[in-house]
Amino acid sequence: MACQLAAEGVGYRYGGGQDAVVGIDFAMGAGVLGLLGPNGAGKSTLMRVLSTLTRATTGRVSWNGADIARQPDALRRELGYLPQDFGVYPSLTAREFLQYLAAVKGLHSREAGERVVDCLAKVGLSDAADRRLGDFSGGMRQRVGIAQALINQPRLLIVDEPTVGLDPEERMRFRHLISDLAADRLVILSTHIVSDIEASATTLAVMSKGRLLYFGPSATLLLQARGHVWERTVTESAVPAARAGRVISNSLRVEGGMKLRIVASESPSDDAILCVPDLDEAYLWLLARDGAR
Amino acid sequence: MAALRRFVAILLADLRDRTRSTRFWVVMALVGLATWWCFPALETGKVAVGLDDTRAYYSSAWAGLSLGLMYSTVLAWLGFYLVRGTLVRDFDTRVWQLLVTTPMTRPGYLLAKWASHMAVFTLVMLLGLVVGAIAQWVRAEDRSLDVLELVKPVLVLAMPSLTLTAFFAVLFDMVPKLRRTGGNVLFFFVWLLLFAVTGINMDPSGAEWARQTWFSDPSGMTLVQRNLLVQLAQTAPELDAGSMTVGMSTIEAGAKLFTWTHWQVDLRDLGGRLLWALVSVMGILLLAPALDWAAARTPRGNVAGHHAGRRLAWLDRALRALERSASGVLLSAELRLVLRQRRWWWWLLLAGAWVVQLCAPANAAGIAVIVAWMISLDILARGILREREGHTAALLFTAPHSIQRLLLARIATAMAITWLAALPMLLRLMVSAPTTAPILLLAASNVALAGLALGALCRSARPYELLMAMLAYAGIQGLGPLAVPAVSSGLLLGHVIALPLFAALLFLSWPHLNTIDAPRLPWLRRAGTVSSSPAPFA
Repeated sequence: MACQLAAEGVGYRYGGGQDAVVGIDFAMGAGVLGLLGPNGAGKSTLMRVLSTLTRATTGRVSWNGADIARQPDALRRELGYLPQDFGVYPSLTAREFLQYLAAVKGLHSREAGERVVDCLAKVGLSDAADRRLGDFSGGMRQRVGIAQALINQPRLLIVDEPTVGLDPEERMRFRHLISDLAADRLVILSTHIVSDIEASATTLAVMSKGRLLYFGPSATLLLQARGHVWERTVTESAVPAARAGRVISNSLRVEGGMKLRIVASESPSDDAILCVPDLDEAYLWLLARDGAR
Repeated sequence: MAALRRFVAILLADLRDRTRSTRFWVVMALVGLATWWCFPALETGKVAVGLDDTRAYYSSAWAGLSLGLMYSTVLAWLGFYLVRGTLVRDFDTRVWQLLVTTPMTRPGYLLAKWASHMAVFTLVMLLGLVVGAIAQWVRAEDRSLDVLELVKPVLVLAMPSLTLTAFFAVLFDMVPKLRRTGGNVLFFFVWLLLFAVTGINMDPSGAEWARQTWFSDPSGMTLVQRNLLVQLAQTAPELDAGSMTVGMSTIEAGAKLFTWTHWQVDLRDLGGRLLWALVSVMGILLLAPALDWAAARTPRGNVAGHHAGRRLAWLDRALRALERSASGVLLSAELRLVLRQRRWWWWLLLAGAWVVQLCAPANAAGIAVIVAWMISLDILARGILREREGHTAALLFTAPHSIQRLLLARIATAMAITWLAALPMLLRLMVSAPTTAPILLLAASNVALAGLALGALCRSARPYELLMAMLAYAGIQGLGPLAVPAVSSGLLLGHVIALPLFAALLFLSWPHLNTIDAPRLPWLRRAGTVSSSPAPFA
C-alpha cells in the first residue's frame, strides 16, 4: 500500500498576521521522521496541519496524492495521532475507551475487539485493560494514548512528545515499537528528547521560527557539524568567561575545574580540543548557525 | 503596601483575562443594545420602568433611576452568569497552586476576586450610562444633562445589589457542588427569593412599616417606590400611581408623564443601601477560612466535572446487546459515560420522579417530569462540550467522519435521557390522553436538542442552564413549553417549530465547536500579549 506524505510551501498564519509556519516543503514515504526544534518553532502547528486538525493558510499537504484540505477523510482513515496534551474519560476502562475510539474511527465491532487486545498488549497494558482510566497513573494514560493511535493500523502515525511520563523501560519499548512500525508506514515523531530521535528516526527535520532548517538523514547533519564542537577544561573562576556568548552543550565538574563542550565554528581557545559531535550538538550547531538562539 | 500590590495584581490579571475574550465584548454589545431598549419612545406605548401607567419624562434623573433599577434587578441576576467562574478557573488550571505558595492572604485573594467582579459590573454600568445619556438626548423629552443625577441612582441602587451578586459568584465558585450546572440553576431561585420575595413583602403601597423603614430590599426598588409615591403625592396627586414596574410593559392608552429631575436620598436610606454592601464584604471575609478546603475539592487531571463514578455492572449487561455494531458501541459508550457519573441521589430522585409520574395527579406528574429533566440538566447542557472540557478533541476529530458519528451518538444519548426521565408519564399519557403523548415526546426531544444546540452555539453550558431554570420555574406554575399536561395547540406548534430549528442550529454549530482556544481579539494577538492556537478544520 502507498504511503507518501508531501508538503508543498505549507504555511500557517494567525489571524493577527503572525506566521507560525512558513514555506515547509518535504516529501517522505515509509520510515521515521524525527521533528526537532526549540519551543515556539512551529512543530505543534505543523503536526496539527499534518493531522488535519488545522488547515494550512498557504501551500498544500497531500497524502498519496490527495489534498488533505479538500479530502481530509482520505488521510484520517489511515491516520493515528497522539497529541501532546489529551484527556481520557475516567469512568471508562482502558478497553472501553479504546473500543469507543475504534467505533469513532469506524472500525467494525469484531475487528475493533481484536485490535484493542493487540494494542493493549503492544503498550504493556493487557493486565490493566479492565481497570478504569481514573485509576491510571500519568505514564499509563500516555500508553493508552499510544494504543489509541495504533488502533486503526495507521499508515501515517503522528506522535507529539510520546515518551513524556514514561519510565526508561517503557521508553525503550516505545522506541522498539516505533522502529517495528516504520517498516511499512510513515511515523512522524516530534520530541525534545534528542536520544528518542537518534534511536529511531531515519530522517530528521529541524524547525526554527516556523521554517524548516534541515531535512535529511541525521548522519548527514552529524557530518555537517563535524569540526564545530570543542572540549576544554577551565578553572572554576574562568567558567563564567568561558561560557559567555558561547553555546555550551555540556558542563562536567572535574578535579580542578569544569570540562566544557562548546559548539562553535572556530576554536574557542588554544587549549580546546576538537571532538566528534553527537546529535544534540549537531542540532545546537544548526540552530546557532541560523541565529535562532 | 505589599498586600495592596498583590490585591491589585490579582484584580488586574483577572480583568485582563476576562476582557481579552470575545465573549466579554459580545456581552458588552448586548448590554448596550438592552440599555437602549430601556428607553422606548413615547409613541410606542411601552414603558421599561414606571409606576402603574405613568413614567417620568426622560430626564437625566429618570434615565439614571431606570438604569439603576434595571441593573439592580436584571444585571444582579444575569451578571452572576457573566462574572462567575474565576475561582474555578484558578482551581482547574492549578494557578491556585502557584498562588498558594506566595504570601498572599486568603481574605485578600477572595476580596480581589470579589472586586474583580465589581470592576466588570462597573464597566457594564459605565457603558449603560453612556447609552442612557445618548437615549436621553435622542428621545428629546428633556435634554438637560445632569451627570450627578444620572450617576447617583446607579451608585445607590445598583452597586449594593451587585455586591451581593459578586458575593454569590464567589460563594458558588467555592462550594464544589455549586461550581457548575447545579449552581447556575440554584442562583436563579436564590435571585428570585432574594430580590422578588423581599421586594414584594416590603411593598410600601401595602404596609405602613414599609413606608417608614430605612431598610430596603436588595434591589432598592422599595426605596425608590417609597420616594416616588411621596413626591408624586405632593407634585402630581392626580396620577394616583401605586405599583412599580421594572421590565417592559405596554400601556394601550399611552403612558402618563410626570416630571422627575432630582432624586432626594437621605442618609438613613443610604445607610440601608450600604448595609447590603457591608453584608457582602463580611460574607467574603467569612468565606476566607474555607478557601483551602474549597481548592482541595477540585477534580484530578484537569477534567472539570468528570470523575470515575460507579462501575454499574448491570448497565454493562443491559448495553451488551447494543454493542454488535460500531454505532452501537459508540452509543453504549456514550450512555456509560453519562450514567456512570450519576450520583446516588440522582437515581433516587429519578425513581421518586417516576413514582410521582405514575401515581400523582396530572399536574404533579407534569412537575415530576420537569424535575426529572432538571436533575439531568448537566448531561444535557454539557454533553456537547465534552471534548472541549475533557481535552479529547484531538483524539476524536482526527478520525474519519467522526463529526457525524459523534453528533448522532450524542443526540441519541441526550434524547434517551430525556425520554427515559419522562417514561412513566409518557406511558400514562399513551393510555389516558393519547393525543398529548406525542407533545411530551416532542418536548423531551426539544429539551435534549436545545441543550446540545445552545451548548454548541454558545460554547458554554450557562445559557441553556439559565433558560431551563426559567422554563422550569414557569412550567411548575403550569406555564410555558415544559408544562405538557396543560396542552394547547400553541404548545404543540411551538414544539413542532422548535425541533427542526434546534436541529439545524446544532448541525451548523457543532463542526465549529471544537476550536482549541476561545476566540481572541486580533488586536491583542498582534500586540503579542495573547497566544492562540490555529483554527481547526470546519
